[in-house]
Amino acid sequence: MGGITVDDFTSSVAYREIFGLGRQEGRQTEAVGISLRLLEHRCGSLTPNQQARIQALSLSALETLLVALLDFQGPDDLNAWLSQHTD
Amino acid sequence: MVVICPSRDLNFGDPTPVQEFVERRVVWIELLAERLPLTAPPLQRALGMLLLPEDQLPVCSASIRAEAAGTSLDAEIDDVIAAILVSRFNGRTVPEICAMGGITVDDFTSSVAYREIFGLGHQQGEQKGEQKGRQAEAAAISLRLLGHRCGALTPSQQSRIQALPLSALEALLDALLDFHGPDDLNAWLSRHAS
Repeated sequence: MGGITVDDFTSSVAYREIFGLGRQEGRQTEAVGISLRLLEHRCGSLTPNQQARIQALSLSALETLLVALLDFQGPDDLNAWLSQHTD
Repeated sequence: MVVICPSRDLNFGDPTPVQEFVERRVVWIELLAERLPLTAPPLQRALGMLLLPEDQLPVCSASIRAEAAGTSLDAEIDDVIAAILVSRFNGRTVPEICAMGGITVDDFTSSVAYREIFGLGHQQGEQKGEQKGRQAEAAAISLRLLGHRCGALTPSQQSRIQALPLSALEALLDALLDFHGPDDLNAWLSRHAS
């Protein structure tokens, strides 16, 4: 009656919701890492402020940024992109 | 010996051979609402929430929380209630569970249970990132950027890129910033992929 197995628990909707949020965050970390690296190649070293703004971007915004940075010529392009896409 | 059960009237088999033991040595903790005194400690009543009819849960939860308020249990009672409800209600979402327990989603997301589950997911997400999945993630980003840089990729190019190890993908990601078309990709692949 009250017997709940670990399997029951880990297949529960709430568990999977929470777990999925965590996993999403882990993938986000990866996308941030790649973005920072490519931007350094493209725009030179980033300021702490730029880094913080990039780390705060959503995964979909990071993907947009990754495509956009292909056309960046320097730090001004990054700043312009950030001011368009962040508050 | 402590026996935690819905009711001692459940069929536990013939009591005769162990009658003396049961009478002298067993402490019964019964969780069915009609067996669980209102004066029971808050944690015991929280266990009772495993069996309580659903429509009575919010009131019961409120009374348990009120009793725990200001005591040493105050900090953890929401956690206990959340863990019990998550375990019992397999098909419910986090907001539904919070509503049943009368706790806010904010309280719930700061609970130990929540943070442990979240941490597991995060760890797995990062491991995916660290190992195979980081490779998959890097390959996905590479394909995307190459599509913009070099036009649509052939199936053969795609599969060669997906087969690259992470270190090669990172080199490719760096290199593709200077690509101008499909020839640059083909030249890179012929140098780096056997």
